[in-house]
Amino acid sequence: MAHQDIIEFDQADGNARRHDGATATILETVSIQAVLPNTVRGIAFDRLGNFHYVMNFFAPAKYVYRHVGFTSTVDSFIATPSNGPYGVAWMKRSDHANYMYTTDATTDSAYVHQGFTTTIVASWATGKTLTLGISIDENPIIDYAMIEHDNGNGGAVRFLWDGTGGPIDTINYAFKFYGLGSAWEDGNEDNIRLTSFIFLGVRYIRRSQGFTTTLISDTTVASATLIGVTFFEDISVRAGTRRQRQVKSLIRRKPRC
Amino acid sequence: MQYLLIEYVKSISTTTRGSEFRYPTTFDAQELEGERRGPILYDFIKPLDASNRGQCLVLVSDRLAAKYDRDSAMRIITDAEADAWIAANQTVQSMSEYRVDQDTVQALQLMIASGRTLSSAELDMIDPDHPRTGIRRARRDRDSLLGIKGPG
Repeated sequence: MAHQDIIEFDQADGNARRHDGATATILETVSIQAVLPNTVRGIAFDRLGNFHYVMNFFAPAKYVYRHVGFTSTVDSFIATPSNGPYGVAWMKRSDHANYMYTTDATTDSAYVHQGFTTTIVASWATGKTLTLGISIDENPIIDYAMIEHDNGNGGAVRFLWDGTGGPIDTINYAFKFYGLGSAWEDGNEDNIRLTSFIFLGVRYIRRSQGFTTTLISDTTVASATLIGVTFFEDISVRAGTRRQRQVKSLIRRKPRC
Repeated sequence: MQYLLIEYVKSISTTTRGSEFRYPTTFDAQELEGERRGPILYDFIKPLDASNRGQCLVLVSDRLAAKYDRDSAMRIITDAEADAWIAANQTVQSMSEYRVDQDTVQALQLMIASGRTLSSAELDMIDPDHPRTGIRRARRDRDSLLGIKGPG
């Protein structure tokens, strides 16, 4: 299934690579750098199949770039209020409103944008040090924002979507590794969660069972500067599937002669 | 391979009400992806002109360059013109003089902080003109920014 492919970021060469599922096999590489290859951070897809990444740019503007699908072509960009933007995530809530989340690694805060705009509708202090990745668990009943932290303890904290409810859940990993990005597979919170991290200098992408430390698999990646990770949302495949369903529907409705 | 200068227009989306770039009608991002070398070079610092137009530069195959050059909003430019465009690109000219491998430099900082004397090889890592990983001097020429122009 296309949506189970995953994307990793390589901070050194500014490339994003699409893996065949959770394996080290690389299917596609896209140069996502606009100009400054060593300052790309988080990675996310919106629900239209567009590809976002955050880039630490020239002070005071810190930008989030949006690409045309999984290509190098920039579709738009906006400034964030962050001093050190790191993570980015996208959520379409159950009420069909779109929100973009960004994190600030210097002030340890998280922001909720009104879609792909500079309008901030909520923000909160994460209460940790060096807040890096952010991802959204799109539970259809309750929307959660889950943040990966790097504070030397390898901890992750889950917040209510707008931050007003404070942290509701915390997990700590067995090893004190350096957590970078994270992503959730579509569906409910029992689904797969990806985490990119460094342990003893080696970069890994880990699949866990939901918001737990239960390990499903670890993949070491070739990138020496892996930063972000996300699931690949192939909108063209989904559109094709929908079209196929429509065609099948028309065939079924065709009257018998 | 050819240098292709592409003109885009910043506009407001009628569906999302957010800003977006409009590329020339014959431009296809997916098609470009398979026939370009290196990144697409933008100038995000330079303000757009009165018509909200901006430009980006990319190294593409001869086939695609010939196809897109027929569009009035895209054109093939010479090496000298590409050099001039890069020299006038405010984003490129504002780039840091150095490219830093954070992992290496962080390790070296810890060694220095702990009082350890760096070896010759470790000192090479913070020499920007030495090819070892660590701190490298950033290049701002066509080849390093857009990829090596070769046949194709």
